[in-house]
Amino acid sequence: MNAFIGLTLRDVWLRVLLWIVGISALTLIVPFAFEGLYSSEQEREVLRQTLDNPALIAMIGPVPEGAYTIAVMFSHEMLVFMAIIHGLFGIMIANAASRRMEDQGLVEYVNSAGITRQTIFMTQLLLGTGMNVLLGIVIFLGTYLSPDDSFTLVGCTLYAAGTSLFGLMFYTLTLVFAQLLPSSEWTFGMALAILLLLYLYRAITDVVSPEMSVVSPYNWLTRLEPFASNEAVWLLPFLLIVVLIGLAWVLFSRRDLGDAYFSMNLNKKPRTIGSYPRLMIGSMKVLTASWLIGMMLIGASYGSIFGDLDAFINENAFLADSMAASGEDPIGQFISVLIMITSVIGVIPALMVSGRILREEKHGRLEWLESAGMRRTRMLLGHGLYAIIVGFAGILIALLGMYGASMTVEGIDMTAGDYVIAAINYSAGVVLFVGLSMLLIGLRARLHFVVWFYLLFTFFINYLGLILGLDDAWLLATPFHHLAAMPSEEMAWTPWLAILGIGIVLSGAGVMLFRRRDVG
Amino acid sequence: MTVLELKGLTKTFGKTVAAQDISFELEAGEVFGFIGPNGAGKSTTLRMIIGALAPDSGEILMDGKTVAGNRHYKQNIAYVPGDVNLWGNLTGEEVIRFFMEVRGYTDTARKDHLIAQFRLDSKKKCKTYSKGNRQKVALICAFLSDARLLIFDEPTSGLDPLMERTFHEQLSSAKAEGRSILLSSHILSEVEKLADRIAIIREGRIIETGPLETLRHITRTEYIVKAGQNLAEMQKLPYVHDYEETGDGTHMRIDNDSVGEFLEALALHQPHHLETLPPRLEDIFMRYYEDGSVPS
Repeated sequence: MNAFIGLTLRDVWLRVLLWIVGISALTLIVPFAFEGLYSSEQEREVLRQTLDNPALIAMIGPVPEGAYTIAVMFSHEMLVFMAIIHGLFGIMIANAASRRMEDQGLVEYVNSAGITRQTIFMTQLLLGTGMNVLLGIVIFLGTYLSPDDSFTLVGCTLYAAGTSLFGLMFYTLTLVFAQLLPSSEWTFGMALAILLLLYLYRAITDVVSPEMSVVSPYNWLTRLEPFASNEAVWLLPFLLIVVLIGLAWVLFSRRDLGDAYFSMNLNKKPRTIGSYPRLMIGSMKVLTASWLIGMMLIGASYGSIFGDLDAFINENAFLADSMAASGEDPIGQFISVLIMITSVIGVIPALMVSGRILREEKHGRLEWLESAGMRRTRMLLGHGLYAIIVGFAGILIALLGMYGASMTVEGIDMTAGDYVIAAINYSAGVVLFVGLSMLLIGLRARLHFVVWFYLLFTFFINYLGLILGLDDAWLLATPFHHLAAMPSEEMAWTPWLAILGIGIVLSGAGVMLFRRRDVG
Repeated sequence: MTVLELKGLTKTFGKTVAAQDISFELEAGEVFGFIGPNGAGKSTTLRMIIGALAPDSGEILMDGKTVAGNRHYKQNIAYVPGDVNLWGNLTGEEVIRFFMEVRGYTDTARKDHLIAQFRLDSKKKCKTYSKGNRQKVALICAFLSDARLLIFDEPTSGLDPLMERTFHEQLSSAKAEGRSILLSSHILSEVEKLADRIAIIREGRIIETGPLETLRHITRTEYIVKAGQNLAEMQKLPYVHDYEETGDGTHMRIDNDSVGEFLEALALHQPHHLETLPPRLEDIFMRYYEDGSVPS
């Protein structure tokens, strides 16, 4: 047993460590940032007022009652949002230690060497528990040691325990899917879908009917109210983890290795695939379809809160007056923020499509295809073009979903056409990201992760920058900042063309470099 | 007619010299065996030919013309990688059809014949295939093509003996059609059986090229001797190796350049039965690798 744990740890320790360092860093810089930015109670009160609107409630959850101390502010702005990342951490590692290992035949191999299924399962559980406990301890210590008095012992414990249990819950949920579904891709996709759908569900219900939100685990965290009322009882629903563990074990112990409870094999007549683009599009069918559906859901969920946004502005006479005085349309401004966030998310599927050519390379297929006369520059161009199409389609569908869900709301004077123009506007950002992706692919396969970092950076700057009040200098480094913030600003073609142009130049350079570099 | 010519190809990865000054030629209708252990530089050389790797220096000529800047030369090549990860969600049939489409082949009868010959269950998804089955898909794609140069990178390493024979048959008929074959392998018996000429590669350098017959002079020949007297003291001689007494006589391997001395020494022991076994590729190979130097 010890030997197998050692082996598994040696396989995943670096990834686990990077996740723990990343999540802790992201969490723990915030109390310090707040300390400097919002040291006085008045400043915090102003921020609380700003956050108390449907758009931001949808993003980060409802505003807590009582004194808005630095610690309360921290948990309000970070808890729900960081939960997504804790969940993602659980999903990725659980998948790597279960279904992926099995897909590679390793589970069968160690099983044949006398390591029992109990041992394999216990190892998976120990890994999940251990890494989440470790992360919890780091976050507990980090928050507790932060300079502000409002970070109480109980509060820090609840924050750390809540996020760790959330991560562990998705870890165990992934273990269940690993038994049910036939491959690691399916396991990852399904667990991720649940993680995001529960977030969207919470976003809508937090605004529309807060009682209903309790179904979503994100809301359990909100109801913990760390640093305020400290409702430790909301840790209890996480006992669901025990059920998930039991279920995963029952399912695992009763099936053949390599088998699954749901087989996704649809027997069809053999297709004739006549070109690389068709092969590529076909192989990414599930990926693109699920992203397009997801984008529509994101758009529709944001759109569904526009009604409350309108009511909120009307109720809040002070805000309406001040906005009117400065000549700004408050609703338009909120919608602009939501549209931009949606567009940044829309870059993810585009990068997955452009980066997919690296999988062809890694698996040795690229050179095989090339030896049959297909040109790699064309293949890369195909991936790039398709990435831009998918990125644009995703944003368009999301914005049309937003439009559809908010059609009945009065006081928003945006036509479907406005949403289409906004989609066109932000797709310049997609082109830039895809261009960067192609440039990195052209340089070296291993460098491609940089574009993901840049996207993550952009996302944080645009999303959290809003809340944390970051310096404009940071925003300048992201393409989306330069594009017109539609609909609150008019469409501006000059920056649009500039960003589009940079994207095209980058992709051109990528194709040129790719032609020359070694593959495989 | 020379179909393919390599001139001084060199490729380094960082400090590792994967291939150094590789040169050989391949004639039309010729099977050229390219042998060496794992990591010797076989795949690096093949992958330079198909354009996956750019050589640091040296030149590749096809039909006498350099391939640099010529993007059409690959139309004359069919390549089978050592291990290919096929698209998991496509069936074998779909992959083969894909290659037929992109290369413009329409002979479905020949495709069905090859699938039957290789006993491939082509209706299954590629992710369920073993290595051998994946190789069959790639081999069928190559034999289906009308490329004049077939390049195989360890093609039989996952095949069972029956399928190996099918592969050898297909290879022979491709050769009979006048196509050239570059066959990399570490399975020596295979190359010995199929190749007209061979090149031996070791640590990135070609250490020997030529027809098998001419390479045999540098090796040892195995002798089986029965004699009136005890032969045991012969094993002390410097040119006698692998001395062994068995039921059918005494076996020993003799350096080919010392045959005269050997026969003189043997005559003193009154031999009444002398049998020689032809040198095997294995022997050539082992001698290079054991000695660590090129024998003169």
